[in-house]
Amino acid sequence: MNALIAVPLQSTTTTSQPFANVEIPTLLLSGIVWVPTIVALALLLFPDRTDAHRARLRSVALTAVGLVAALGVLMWYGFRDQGATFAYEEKRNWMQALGTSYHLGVDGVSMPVLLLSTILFLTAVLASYRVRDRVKEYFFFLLLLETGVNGVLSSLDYLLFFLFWGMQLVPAFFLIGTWGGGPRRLQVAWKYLAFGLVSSGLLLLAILVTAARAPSHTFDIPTLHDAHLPVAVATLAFFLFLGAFALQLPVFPLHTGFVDAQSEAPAPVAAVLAGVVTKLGAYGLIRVNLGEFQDVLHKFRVPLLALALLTIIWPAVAALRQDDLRRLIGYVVVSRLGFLVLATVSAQPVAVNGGVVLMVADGLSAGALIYLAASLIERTNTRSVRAMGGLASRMPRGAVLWIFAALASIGLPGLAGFVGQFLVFLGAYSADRKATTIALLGVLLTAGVLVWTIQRLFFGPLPESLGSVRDLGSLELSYTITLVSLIFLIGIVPGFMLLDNVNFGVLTLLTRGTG
Amino acid sequence: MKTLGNLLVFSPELWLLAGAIVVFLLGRAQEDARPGVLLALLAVVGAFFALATQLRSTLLILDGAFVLDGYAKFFDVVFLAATALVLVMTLTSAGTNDAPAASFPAFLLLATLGALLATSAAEMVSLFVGLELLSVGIVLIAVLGRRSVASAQAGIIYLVSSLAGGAVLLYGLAVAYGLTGQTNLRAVGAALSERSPSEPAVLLALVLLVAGFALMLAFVPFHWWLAESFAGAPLPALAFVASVGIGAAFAVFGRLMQSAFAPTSVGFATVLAVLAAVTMTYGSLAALSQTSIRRLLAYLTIAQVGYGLAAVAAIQRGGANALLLFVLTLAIGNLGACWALLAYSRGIDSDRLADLTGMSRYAPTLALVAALSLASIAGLPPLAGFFGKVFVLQAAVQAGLGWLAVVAVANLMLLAFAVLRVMRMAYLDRATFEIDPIPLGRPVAAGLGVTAAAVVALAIFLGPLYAAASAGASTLGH
Repeated sequence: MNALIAVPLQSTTTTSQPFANVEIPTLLLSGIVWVPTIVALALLLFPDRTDAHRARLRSVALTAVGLVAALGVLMWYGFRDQGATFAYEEKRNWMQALGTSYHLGVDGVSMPVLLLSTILFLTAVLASYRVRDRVKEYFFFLLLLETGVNGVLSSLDYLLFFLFWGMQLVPAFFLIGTWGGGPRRLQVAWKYLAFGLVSSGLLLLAILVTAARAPSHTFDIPTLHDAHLPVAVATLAFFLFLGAFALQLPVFPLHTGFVDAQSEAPAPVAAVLAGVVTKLGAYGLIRVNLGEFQDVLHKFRVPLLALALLTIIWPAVAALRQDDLRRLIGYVVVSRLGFLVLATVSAQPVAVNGGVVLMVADGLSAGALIYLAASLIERTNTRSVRAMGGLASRMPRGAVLWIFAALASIGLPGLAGFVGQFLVFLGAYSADRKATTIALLGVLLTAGVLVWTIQRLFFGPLPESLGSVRDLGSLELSYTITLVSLIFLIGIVPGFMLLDNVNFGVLTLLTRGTG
Repeated sequence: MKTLGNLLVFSPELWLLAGAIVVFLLGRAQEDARPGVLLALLAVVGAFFALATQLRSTLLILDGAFVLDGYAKFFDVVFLAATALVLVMTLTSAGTNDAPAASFPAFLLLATLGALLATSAAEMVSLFVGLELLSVGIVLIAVLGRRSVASAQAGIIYLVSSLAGGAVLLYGLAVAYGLTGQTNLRAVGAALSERSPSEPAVLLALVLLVAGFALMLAFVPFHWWLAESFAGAPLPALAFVASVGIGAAFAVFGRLMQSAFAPTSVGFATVLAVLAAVTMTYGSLAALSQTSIRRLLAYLTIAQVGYGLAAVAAIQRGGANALLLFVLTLAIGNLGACWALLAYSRGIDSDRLADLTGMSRYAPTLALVAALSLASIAGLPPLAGFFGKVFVLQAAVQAGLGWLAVVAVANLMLLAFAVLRVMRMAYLDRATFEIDPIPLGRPVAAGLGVTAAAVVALAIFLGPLYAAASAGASTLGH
């Protein structure tokens, strides 16, 4: 219950801060966004012929994501009590006459996800040691993907937001289509691209409609949040945005492309996709659909709630029947994303707070589960859950880490998932009791799936063919332990880690959206 | 004094003319095109500086037959820069059997001269003369750019289509003159605005004028010549058509529509919007299924013409601005894509798209430039073409053509598919054959580098460019 104390207190938090009087250089956000691209372009100049060359490419990429993660942690440390404004704001003239500027900034909603992104990309580069083919291009696209994701999270201008949105799509396509594992990888990559392109198209239309019909012709997100749009235009823009973000999320019934991508993509890419690229959809829902069009959201609450519930329940049921380990995790991830839709639709501060925490928590646990699953699959040479069993005796470290990551996904108290999930339910229950009760059923389902999977993977008799399986190596431990220890930290001291900073952003967003 | 003053204002054009004459004379003395290219580059640089001295004010020349306003000057700068790149491009095949004729740079300069004249023409006769000079120049460079039957064929196809386009355009201009008794475009606009917009003669003039430009700009269903001539044209001629040729026709079309029809209540916007939707959809659908490199470039160009047309359709309400920036990004993207893909296609001696596999291994520079330029053509952010298309979309939405914006966005997805397919072949598919790496001369590599840098870095300079385009667009309206 410690977790909850932070909730009522945070709006008045004015503890001493280390950076209170220090002018933080305003290039930090630009750095976090553009460093990966600059390094990616530099990578193109490196040779890629011998193993030594490839090792050097790897360490350059690692330095880049490490630097970005360090910037992320530094910014998080300096990010305390920013009040109603955006932190680390950068605003440069770009095309004034068009009403667009190079405007970056983060608040309590985007900063935690941005931090999650930098950490997940760090682990993704670490986990990419299996990639031996066309290493240069691989890291080029992975770094470009990071720029896209971080850019979406820190843009405060719609044109810029769209620019980064497009930048995260193409690298993902290449990463799945080229370095994916299965024979279907190309087909899956095209499908992923098709979904993504439709999403981008809707987003572009939404942005053009919003900017064209706003009283002041501008693409600036904070300015537009305060603007009044005619009801018809607002409804149209709301649904265009909703379509774009729902495709990215993905909601039921559009999740099949994502689950396919989960099973075909290389593990680091799958972890980044499930951990943070999908969260861009949820972030968009909160930032735009909730932050800007709250009135419209209230009007269409019931169908949207139904959508959220379907997204929670359906993939959970599908996961029950799933034997492919990677697909199973994919379904669980989609089901968990449904809670984010629920939190958004309920439009309660507590629930949205929970949603932001849940994004981070699920991102961490999804990443850990995907990495561990990849390690299991590599060792056992099978993706079938049924073919595994009794692995706890052979890989105790793997089993312990998996169990913690899975329990965090279930929402066990003391782990990160619990805080987010509890707050979402607390908020959503006051908004709609029936829907929340049904959503609880979804929690039970995913919990059932994950516990059952633990039992099937790690306990029971060990098949003879798996008698010589090794435990996790130190490299694998390095990134999985990073993620699992963060899951613990957030679970134990959520206020310190996240909530204090999230709440102000959420409250500001919600009051703005009603204006 | 007045004559001299008028001549001085023509100094950029005079530089090009002088350059052409010197290159002709030089061509009598020797066969190699390289010294001529160098001289022609000097002439373009001279023209550029001459233009730079005139950037300040709007100049009326020869009693208003030409008007050197911000609109014309923006285009002129784009065309001169594109011509300079095309000149460097001719060096791609210099010193081989395939080299262009010695007089090639001279005709290129004359074609550019035509483009500059047409862009600033404010009156029917000067407009027609400028466009004809451009067309004749293009026919000649298509024929002289390479010693092959295919390029002669391309030249003839271009000749036929430009003759037909010119004839229809001339009919349209004649009808407009007959209706109004004026040759100055603004005077025509003023006179037309007093007539009923549904008068058959007014509509006939509109239809003929649009049909003339449909032939010149390859609107669907008048696009056949573009694909056919691209299939055989030599690289510099093809790139010139895809950047300056189409850009100049758009410049004239935009001015004509804005001056002569925007003041009236003739519903030309809807007509153009429908044509734009058809053209961009046809172009991007066709681009999806091409197996030839040259035809792919042709259909990508046709699709882009559709986007430019959308800007012209929105010209009554701020589309001029989008048109200026769109033509700039179109020129950059097309130059890079044509250059890189055709240089590689020449190196492997194949026009098959499937033979692009291995491009990143045998010609990494060409592959990078091709990938960036194609991505720009498809409007992938954050490259130049993305902004060009966003401006067009924004103009369309603001002009109340929301449906056209929806069609245009849908086509962006198709274009992305078409282009990513090629990029995947060039970068990720296994090569099906072994060849030696394709060498690039230093000037060619430098030119490719400039093009690629323009594709990537345009976003950074968009602020001043947008301001210049806005200023240019506002001079068109007054």
